[in-house]
Amino acid sequence: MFLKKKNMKILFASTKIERSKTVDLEKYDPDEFIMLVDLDRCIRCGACALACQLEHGDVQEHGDLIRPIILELDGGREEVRILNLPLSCRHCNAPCEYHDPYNFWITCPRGREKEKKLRSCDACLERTEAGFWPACATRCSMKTIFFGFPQDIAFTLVERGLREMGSIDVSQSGEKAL
Amino acid sequence: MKLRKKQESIRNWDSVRRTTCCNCPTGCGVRVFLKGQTIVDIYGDEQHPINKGSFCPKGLMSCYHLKNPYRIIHPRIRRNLNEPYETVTWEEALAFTAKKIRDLSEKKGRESICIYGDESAPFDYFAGADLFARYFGTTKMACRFLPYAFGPQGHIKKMFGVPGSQLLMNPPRDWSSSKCILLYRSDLAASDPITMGRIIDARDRGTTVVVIDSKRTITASKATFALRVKPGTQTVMLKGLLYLLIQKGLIDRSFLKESTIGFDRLKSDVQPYFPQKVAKSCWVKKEDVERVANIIGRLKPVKVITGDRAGRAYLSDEDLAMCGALVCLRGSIGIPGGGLDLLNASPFSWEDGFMNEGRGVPAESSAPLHFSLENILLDHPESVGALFWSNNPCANMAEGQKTRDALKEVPLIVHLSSYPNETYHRSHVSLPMSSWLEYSGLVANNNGRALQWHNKVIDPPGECRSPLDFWADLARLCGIGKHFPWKRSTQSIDEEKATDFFLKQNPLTRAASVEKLDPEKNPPGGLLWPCLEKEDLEFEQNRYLVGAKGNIRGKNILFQKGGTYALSNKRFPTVSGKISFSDSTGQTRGHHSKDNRRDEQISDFYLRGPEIKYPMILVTGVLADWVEGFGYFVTDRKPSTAPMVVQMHPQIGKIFRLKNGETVAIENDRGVVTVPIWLNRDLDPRVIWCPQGVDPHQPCFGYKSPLSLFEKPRPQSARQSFTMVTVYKAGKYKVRSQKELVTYLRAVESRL
Repeated sequence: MFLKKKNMKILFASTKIERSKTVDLEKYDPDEFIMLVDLDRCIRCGACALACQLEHGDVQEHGDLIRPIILELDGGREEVRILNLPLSCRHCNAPCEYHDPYNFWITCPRGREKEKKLRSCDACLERTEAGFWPACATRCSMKTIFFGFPQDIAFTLVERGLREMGSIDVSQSGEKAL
Repeated sequence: MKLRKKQESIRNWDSVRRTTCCNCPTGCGVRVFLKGQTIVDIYGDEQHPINKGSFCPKGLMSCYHLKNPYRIIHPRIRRNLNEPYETVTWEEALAFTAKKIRDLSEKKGRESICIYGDESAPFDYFAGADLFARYFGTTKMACRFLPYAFGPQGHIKKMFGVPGSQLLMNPPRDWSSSKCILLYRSDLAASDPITMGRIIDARDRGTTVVVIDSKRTITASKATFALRVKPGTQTVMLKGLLYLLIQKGLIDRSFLKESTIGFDRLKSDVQPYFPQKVAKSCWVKKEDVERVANIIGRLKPVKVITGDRAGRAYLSDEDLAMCGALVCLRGSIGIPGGGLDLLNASPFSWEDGFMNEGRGVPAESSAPLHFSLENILLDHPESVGALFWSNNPCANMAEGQKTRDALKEVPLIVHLSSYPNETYHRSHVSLPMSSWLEYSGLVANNNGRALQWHNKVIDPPGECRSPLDFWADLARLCGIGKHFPWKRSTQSIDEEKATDFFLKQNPLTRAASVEKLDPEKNPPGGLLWPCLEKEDLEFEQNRYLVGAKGNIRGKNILFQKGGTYALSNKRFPTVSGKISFSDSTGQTRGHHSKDNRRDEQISDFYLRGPEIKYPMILVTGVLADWVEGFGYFVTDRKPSTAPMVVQMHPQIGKIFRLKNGETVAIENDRGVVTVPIWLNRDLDPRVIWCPQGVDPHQPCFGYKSPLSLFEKPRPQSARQSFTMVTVYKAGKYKVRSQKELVTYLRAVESRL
């Protein structure tokens, strides 16, 4: 049960947001988990949401527990693209007010309520204890979501050009890069 | 401890089966985790070269179809459309159908049997239907309802010598080698998400991705440069780009001289499309047209991708010809990273006569090779005796009430159904179909020019059977059963023998066999066609390819220099042996050009007449987070937001004092559709967007389909991709607001 003591932060990366192009290793506690969402690859297919439902319950029963949050940049002016952020916080089903787009840290007071806490993201405890990534990160169709300790995921954004279908096959990457 | 990303279930399972997903033409490899005879989990296959473990929500939802309480699992019949269905056995339903068909063909002739097919039907449906049609003696067979431009009469066949349905030059594993990818009128992120992965890979490696579409789609948001053009003027934009490329000399002259004929003809074709005119009729800035032409003109190889399953019915002959011309001008044919890739390609095109080798009734040369359902129903309603269809074609049918009324007059309608959608409710006989996890079969339509095999993983529920099984049974009862010799005594069909028969019949796949395709016995990924000889079943040795790992067996790049195309002794199997632009003008294609000219006229006179009845343009597309399987929508959205799928610009909402989710009426001469609206800035204010595939019987979006407001397609032509409408708040039509709307739209129009 090593995971229970640890915190989890969710980061969003996008070339459209200047400050989130790289993961700064020193900023984060090396023992905490980081979930990194590369928004440049996200096509909003909804596989993360579905994966969560398949992992935690029946599709029909919990149809509304998670949803993408729409983040409007630049005060929602007319000409600005709206980014669609996948988010697996399941505290409530209202639009979220408790987030900072650059350093995502769930500070929602609802998360501390007892019955709400049961419904919040548990980073797929069963999967992580078996040594696998959580369901949303595993099943992401564009391999947009990365999960791990800061040192594991710090390079994911830099290695972008080597990925094939979102993942890097080490035995092949050298050959492919040439 | 380091965590691994592994496509592996942590549930209690005892066996894993490998198969191929058939929900969309991407053809992803799948691993199905089983506990006894129950599926506990589905994951993408990490060793599969197409998806590398990725799997989209459509595929994930496949387990949902297995236990859905609404799924139709028993045959049902009724004598007229006002009665409720009664449940019968498979044999009873077939006997009823066969007797009616025999009666009708005696009364109205065998030509009155009409077998409809659209892109969403599996290989087995087409194979069985076309074999049945050929021996039964009707020319209205499933494959002749497929898009005209991609068929053997399309212009692209005259240009390259290969029909559009077979023209996928470079498979997706090669897309990263491209320097510039032009995605033309296809929203891959929504229709085939995993294929989109390759484009994002290429972009991450530095490829410039240019998107031309009428809406700012999710695909467009991932592109380097996206042009949102006026609906119906995408061809004008392409011609404008060609004009600029020729004008600025950004063309590969040596390639044009060596491998093409009729360049002067093409040059004069695009002569009138100078940037100012294009910018004005396409609603874009002149500088943007020039910028895109410069991007395309300075990069090589250039690739054009178009024709995804959802959008290919709307592509005209001229669209495809201009896409082909663009690739030729940049000299990017037969080289890695280049090529014209028309997605959803298939080696089978039965109307071309591939099925005729020594067997059966040859298709008469005078018989029309293309039909559209709306034309048959509206222009010759008396000629239709029986209609066979599958999935949900009703939801995408044009001309609203007229076609629905015509359907009521058809004496027998047979639906191969999975769910109670509108098509099911308009049929007399409903026969339950297996899903792709419940029978084995060939995956022939593919975004990667691969032939694949999908294995039966579990037994089908109730009396569900495969489509080929249905056609074999029907043939037996109609007295032509000897042409379907693969029926086992145990009542189910021997799919392997049947598929081997179809593969042998087609010269392009004659070296392939099921044994060589099965993902459980062979390297995953299947085989690339054309495969004519034994050598084509091995991995290709090519310095541009990584090697055996991550590749698919077979020839990767078509039309390579120095080589010959399959079944021909020339590089391009045209009469002259070169790519031909010579008849790319309207003379031989008559009405197609007229179609496009009509679209251009609409754009010229748009909002300029004295009285405008229908000032807005309704366009259509697909939704990503709506999973449509077997004609049935499933969504993961909240019930309160789920209905908000018809989109409109917030400024129009302001005129009518509309809020998100409120109901609007969309109206034109063909009817009224009342739907909740979603105000979205991704659209131009003059455009309304609606998704394909909705109908009043869907669980999440029970509204009349906005596509019923569309005009019926002209014979031998593409479907109309837009229609003129007006909107108002439901139940509150006000002349004043309409005037306000036109004034506002005119202001928008004059701003450019």
